[in-house]
Amino acid sequence: MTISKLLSVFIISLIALFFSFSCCSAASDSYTMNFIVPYITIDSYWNNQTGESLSLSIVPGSTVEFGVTTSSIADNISWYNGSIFLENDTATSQGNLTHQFNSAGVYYINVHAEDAYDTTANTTFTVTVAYTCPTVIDFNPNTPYRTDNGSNATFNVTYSQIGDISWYIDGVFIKTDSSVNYSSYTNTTGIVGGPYNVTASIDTGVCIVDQEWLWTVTEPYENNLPLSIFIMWTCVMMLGAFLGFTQTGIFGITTSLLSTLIAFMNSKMIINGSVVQYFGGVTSTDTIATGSRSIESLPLSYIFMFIAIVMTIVFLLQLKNEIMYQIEPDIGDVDYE
Amino acid sequence: MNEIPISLFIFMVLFLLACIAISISKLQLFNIVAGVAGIILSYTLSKISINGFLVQQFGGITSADTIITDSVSIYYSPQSYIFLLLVILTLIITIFNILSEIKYNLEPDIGDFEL
Repeated sequence: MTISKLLSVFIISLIALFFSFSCCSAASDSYTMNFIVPYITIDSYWNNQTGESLSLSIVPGSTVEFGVTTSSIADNISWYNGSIFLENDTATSQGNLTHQFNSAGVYYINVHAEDAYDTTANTTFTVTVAYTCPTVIDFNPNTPYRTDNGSNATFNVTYSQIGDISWYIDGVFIKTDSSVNYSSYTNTTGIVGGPYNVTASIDTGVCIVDQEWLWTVTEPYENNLPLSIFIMWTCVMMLGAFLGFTQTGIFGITTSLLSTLIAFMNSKMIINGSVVQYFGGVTSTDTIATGSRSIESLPLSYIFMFIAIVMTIVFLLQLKNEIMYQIEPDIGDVDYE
Repeated sequence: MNEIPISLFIFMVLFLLACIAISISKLQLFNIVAGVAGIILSYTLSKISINGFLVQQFGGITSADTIITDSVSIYYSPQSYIFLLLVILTLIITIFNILSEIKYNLEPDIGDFEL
């Protein structure tokens, strides 16, 4: 009984084992099947700039470098202008196209990438080519501009597009630089007067854009101090000298120092032609004519120099007293005990 | 246009001197205000002396009985340095005044007589 039971259990187990193997082997076949999921992606850029929009606006004649990279090696990367085939890159993960757009319009540069598993990826660059006017990106110097007589005056301008840049002074043609977006002009023969109208004009064939400066040439402005200001400084110097003699402490030091410097300055300016007397009047053509005459006096310069020396001594004495007072404040105090 | 006639310039210099005089005086809080005004004014006058804003103006009557004017800019760099020196001096005086004021507020009895 026991043996027959064991035998039947054994047989049943064998049968179950058989079925289980047949079941699992069938299932095993279905799970071990290798499905190859084709997958290719594409990243785009143009003019070597990543992260840019795939829509770009350019002017006719511009050349654009397009580029794509694929996530895996592509058998073919094909470039199309709309549906017109342009070129093909093979066995690569990077495709490039350099294309010039000569006419206005909207162009769709299509890129088609295909890998060994016939998986494809596509992208499209939208290029809008339109005639636009150039703009002034940069110019130098600022306007109005003044130069000293005898000095060179340099003007330069940078436009956003290439064109023929011509230069004019008061409408008189000077020169043209062709097919450039930057041009510079240096004038070495400016005569006193103005303001002159200096114009840089770019012609792109579509637009003409001007950059203008008002340029004035004057005699050098060095050392022209009107007589009234010279008198003012002299009064300030006299006040400073008086306070330097009569006051003590920081007040006396400050005023004597100021007086010294002004006296020295006046001494110099009264002999180097700095002090000028201005004249002005109306001409026969109803314009204002101005002129100046330098005032130079050697004796006056000596007087100011003498005052400068005296005030220097006063300043040094005031400084010495102040230092001594700060070191030993009790010097001179009366001791009543 | 930024044009400062000579007369106004001279007035500003006199005002600057008044500010400096007040800043050196013993008017406590008022000398700090005058000192700050002196710094600003000195710096402004220093710039005016060399940037062409200071002008000598001219005027006249034309044959059509209209007034026409013109101006000549005044540049004098040594004058600018004098004003810069005044900026430094006034700055030192003002800092000194501020420190004295702070010290006085912390210890008001300094200098008081002990009876």
